[in-house]
Amino acid sequence: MTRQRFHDHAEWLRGDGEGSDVVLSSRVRLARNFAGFSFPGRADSEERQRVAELAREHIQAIGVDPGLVWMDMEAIGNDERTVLVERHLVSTQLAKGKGPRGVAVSHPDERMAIMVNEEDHLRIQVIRSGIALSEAYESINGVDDLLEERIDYAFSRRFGYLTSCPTNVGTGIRVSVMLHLPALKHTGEMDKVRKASKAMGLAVRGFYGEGSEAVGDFFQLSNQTTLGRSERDLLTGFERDIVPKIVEYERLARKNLLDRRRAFLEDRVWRALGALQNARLMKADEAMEHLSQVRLGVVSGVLDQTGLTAAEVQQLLLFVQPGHLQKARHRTMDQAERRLERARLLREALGRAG
Amino acid sequence: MTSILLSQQQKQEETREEPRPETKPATRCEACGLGFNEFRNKGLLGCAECYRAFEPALGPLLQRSHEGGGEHCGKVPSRAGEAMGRLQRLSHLRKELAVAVEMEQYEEAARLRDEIRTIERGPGAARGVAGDDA
Repeated sequence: MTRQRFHDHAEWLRGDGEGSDVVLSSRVRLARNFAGFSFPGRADSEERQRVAELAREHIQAIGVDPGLVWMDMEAIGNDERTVLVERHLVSTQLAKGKGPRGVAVSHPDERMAIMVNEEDHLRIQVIRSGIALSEAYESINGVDDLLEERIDYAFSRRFGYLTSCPTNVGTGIRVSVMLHLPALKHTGEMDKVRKASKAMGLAVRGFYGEGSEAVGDFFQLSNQTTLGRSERDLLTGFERDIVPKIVEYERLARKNLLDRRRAFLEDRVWRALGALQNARLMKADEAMEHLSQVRLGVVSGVLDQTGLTAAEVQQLLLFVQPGHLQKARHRTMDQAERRLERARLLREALGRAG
Repeated sequence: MTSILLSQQQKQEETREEPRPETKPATRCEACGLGFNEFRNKGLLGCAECYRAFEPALGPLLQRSHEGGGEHCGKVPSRAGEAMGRLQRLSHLRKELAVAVEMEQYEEAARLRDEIRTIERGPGAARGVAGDDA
């Protein structure tokens, strides 16, 4: 097979780390606000500008390694903002918002991003490949400490870190893992996972978080409670109990498919690869569904002979997104054009260019 | 006599313990001007002071939405910790002072009053006093 290599350095595309056959990435984010300023939703443009300037100054002064690059949301174009959303570096809300706002991104690893003037003054996030929540927390906690030396955070003894939305108040922490659960989805056990998660106060969301559908068997699992529970307690629950259990269920379901229904599994995986290698028009969601099957084929050994890696498949998950597709082709395209170009890009990447 | 005073003190303590349910929720945050109904509609607060202004109504609301956890449990900013430590020490000393006055222990009351004033002046002032003592 002749394949064109697409390379990307985003942390969550690395495809390695503990449990990476099931867990794409671990993410921790903290919501923080400056004392003495209205929250962004209530502040006028002038106040938001002051917060943005202060935030930028403090973020640049803390000197993390690698350095953080500041991007002013008002100064960059719509296509660039879309790319940032697709890379999980900013939320749709920040991209589509109005007024002074921005993001500081650690370059080039993109492990850390600090959104300024989203729903809160600061939304700090750290992403790691595989199961690495404690590591992500250590990193984010360190940066939070450095910022806190310079900034008076809005904090109360009773309610903890004060946030614009009361559902984030307290620790202001959101812990989440991006899971690939094609076997559980296939066996119909995803409903059980959803119910169990809900009972534990966790939310199950899609690839692009809040409000997004679970396309291609990718699910984001995150906490909903931030008040009355410590960061450590929450992380331990995730890392010791919840995530390993789901990983175990998914692995068991995959093993059952391999042992008992191998022909069925192989057929699904190879058909998906065939569609990606031959299609002439491809929607983003359809591409993600196929790439999900191919990823399952790669990590379960079904596609060993192709030499494909999980990292390559994950990169394609990103490159089929509208913003990245446009970036790769250096132009803005309408939906019909994107479908044509997406199919072409996939053929180039997976070796049936023609 | 002492026992009467103490029971009197206890009564005061009891009434002092439960001011929260009697506090009527504010309909507007004085700091940012957000109305409680506006918060109800949008689900977003306007500023840090809103938490204080709407505390009587927010308390139970938060307890429900955070599954029974009504009080913060977790990281405390280290400088806020200093401030909070000072606030806690203050409220403790003020209680002790009230008891000392009630018990007519005037020397003790004077000492407590001095300590309270020092803390009220802030961390810089406290360090200054320590320096004078040395």
